[in-house]
Amino acid sequence: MSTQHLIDPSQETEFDGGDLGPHGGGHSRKPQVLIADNSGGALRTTQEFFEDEGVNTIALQSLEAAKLVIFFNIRVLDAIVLDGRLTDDEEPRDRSGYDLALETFNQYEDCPPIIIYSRYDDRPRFDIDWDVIPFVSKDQSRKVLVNTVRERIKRRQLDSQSGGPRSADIPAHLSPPYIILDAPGGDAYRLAAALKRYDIQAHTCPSVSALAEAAPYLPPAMYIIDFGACEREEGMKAIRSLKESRDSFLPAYVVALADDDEFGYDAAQSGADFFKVKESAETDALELILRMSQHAAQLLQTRLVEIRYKQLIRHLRQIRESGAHGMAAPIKTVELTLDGPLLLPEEQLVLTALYTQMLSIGEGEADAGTIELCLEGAEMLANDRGQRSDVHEWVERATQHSPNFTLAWFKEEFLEERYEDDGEEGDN
Amino acid sequence: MMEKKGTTDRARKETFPKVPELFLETTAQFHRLTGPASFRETIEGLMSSAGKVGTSAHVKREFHYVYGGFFKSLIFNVGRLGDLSRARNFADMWSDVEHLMGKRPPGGPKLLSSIGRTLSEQFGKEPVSPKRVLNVLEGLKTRLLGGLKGDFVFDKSSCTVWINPHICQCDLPPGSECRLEEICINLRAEFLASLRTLAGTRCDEGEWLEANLHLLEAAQGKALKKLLGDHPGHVGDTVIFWEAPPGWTILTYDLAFRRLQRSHRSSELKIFILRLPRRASGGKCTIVPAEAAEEIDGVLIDHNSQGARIRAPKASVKRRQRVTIKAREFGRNGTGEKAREGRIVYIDRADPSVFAVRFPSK
Repeated sequence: MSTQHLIDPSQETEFDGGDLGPHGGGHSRKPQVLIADNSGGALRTTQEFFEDEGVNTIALQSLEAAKLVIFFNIRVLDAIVLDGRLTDDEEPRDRSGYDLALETFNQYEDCPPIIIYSRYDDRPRFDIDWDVIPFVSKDQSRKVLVNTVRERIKRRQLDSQSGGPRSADIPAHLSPPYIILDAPGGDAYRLAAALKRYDIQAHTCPSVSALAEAAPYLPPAMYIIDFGACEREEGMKAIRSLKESRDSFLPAYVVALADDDEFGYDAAQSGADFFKVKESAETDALELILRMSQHAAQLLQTRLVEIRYKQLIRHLRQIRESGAHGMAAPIKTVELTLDGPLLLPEEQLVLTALYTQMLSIGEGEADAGTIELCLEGAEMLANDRGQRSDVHEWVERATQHSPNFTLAWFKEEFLEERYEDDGEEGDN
Repeated sequence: MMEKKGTTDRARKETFPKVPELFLETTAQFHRLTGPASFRETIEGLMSSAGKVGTSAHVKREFHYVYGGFFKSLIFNVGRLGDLSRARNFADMWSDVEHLMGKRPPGGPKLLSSIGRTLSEQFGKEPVSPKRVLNVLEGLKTRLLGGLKGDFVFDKSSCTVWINPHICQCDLPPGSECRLEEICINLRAEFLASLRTLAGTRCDEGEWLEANLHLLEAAQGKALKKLLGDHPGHVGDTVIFWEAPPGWTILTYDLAFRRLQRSHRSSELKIFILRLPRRASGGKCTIVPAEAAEEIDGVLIDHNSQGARIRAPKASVKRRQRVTIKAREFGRNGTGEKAREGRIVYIDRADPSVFAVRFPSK
């Protein structure tokens, strides 16, 4: 599964000023609405209704997942729709949806509109300004909910000078957060306290399922799964799901913690980036910080690679259109990219083929077919890092056109001449 | 670019021979992707003129075992250099890598030396980071391991013994299918006879086969399979030889296949051996046998950077004898030298005045 992170901060954010477009003025972007409802069926129906109305949605079933996703995406959300009883519909004392609404509203300046959407009207039990956080009953048509959301988004736009989220405002999360599984039996508190001594505010999540649900919408965090806080199978499943929840541009870093070596094999099998047997809280925290700094550097490098692929395309188009000689600029870009970490096998294959070809051209002039094939390779990289392209077919086709797309690294001088067969069948 | 004029190599001719069914052996697969230009052109030419192109399950297995193992070890050792982002002189870096790879690197020393020399030419004298070298090596590995060709894959070898010689699930019903049974049980006599053919010869597996033939002949059924699984490198050629179907032409660089075909399947298989192009001459040359003062006149039939064929009716030479050959053409062979020293590796049985000299690699 690839990440569904709301908005790529590197992209321009635009709005179309349509019915549900919150910020008018010739921009175009679908509004983003988070919907949290512990009833799976109701959640799906509400989500489909919004999607049909041209709204992008993030649908979550768990309170804890909603908390995490709101925290990391507050500046890109246009509205939040919360079920009042977000933990247990049958429990009259469940006020988790209302609590989250109040907590969110009080915590963030310029908070996006929050709407309580519930089957039970618990308003008399809460001291809330219902004009600020409106209530929509599930007994009403979903159209009422959509209209309320639309009206609130427009009201916010009129009230705000800022005009809503803009790409420059959106946090890039280049310093990835720490998210610790905090369930009974684990050491989340101890570890979070040790991290705090180094000025690091770790986030916690009390269940594996909530972590898995939230992960696709979170920045590329370091997740710390403590095998002491979950069943063995559950821990392995969580690690797998966290690793799969991210795309390869922004991978998650998953650490498995355990009291002894017993879980090392399981952790590795599940795809954990690092397995650690617990030591003192300070030692564990320091080691995690060190690993995280390496991971953060790799993420920055990966962002850079994305930019370089676009640069490579620009260079090659310039050469094609101007008919200029020489490959100095694209060679430099390819070299800088090859100097970076975290390249995928497809990228390594395409970059090596481009590099070999470009070096062979050097200061000379490439034929039009070769330039087109170089551009095709660069475009595969820029689109999806070559992941969904048939890179082997491309390199085979490119080599048929020009052998310099493949480095012939086995040299003639290392071959022995064969005389034993002279004059024999098939070899004269 | 290779020359098309003035060579005696059949592959240099305008058209390639029509091979209706072409079987790519491991070495042919390797050289198609990474060998010298002359080899690549020959292979592509034969493939494009062939009606069918095939390979076998054991070719694929051997390919991944040998070349996958080579790259795995090489990449691991480049990764051990430390501070992978710091650019440095490639020659110094490679010298450290060669040391880490040890005296007997996987795949053999030629693979390591050749890739080192090619990359040295590619990177030049500019400092380069080990990370870039690693990414390029990964790219070359992906190209090599993902580039095997063959629309038809013949299989008389698939068995769990290649993964773990101690585990053969072939007799565990139901549904388990052992393709190696055909060679080890149905064709056992022929298979052992072909191993005997290679035992004691100068081919790579000859020495081991000679020392262990008695064990192979004594083993039956699963015991034989286990022995094969224990020594994939020593029995690989023979297994592949029996996987190639009747009527097909095996394209290979490995002379063992010619030897096997002559002794066992001469009427049903053809062998096409890859070799370097030879430049035709017909000019005069002089032969100077080692430790002899006299110079003997001869004719240079053809030559390349690795050796030469000579006709010298007045010379009396023996195999393995050291000789120096002087010819004007050698000066145009890229070396600039007009005399080349080498050993006699071949004397024509039909016409003993024709012999071949192999020059040592520079």
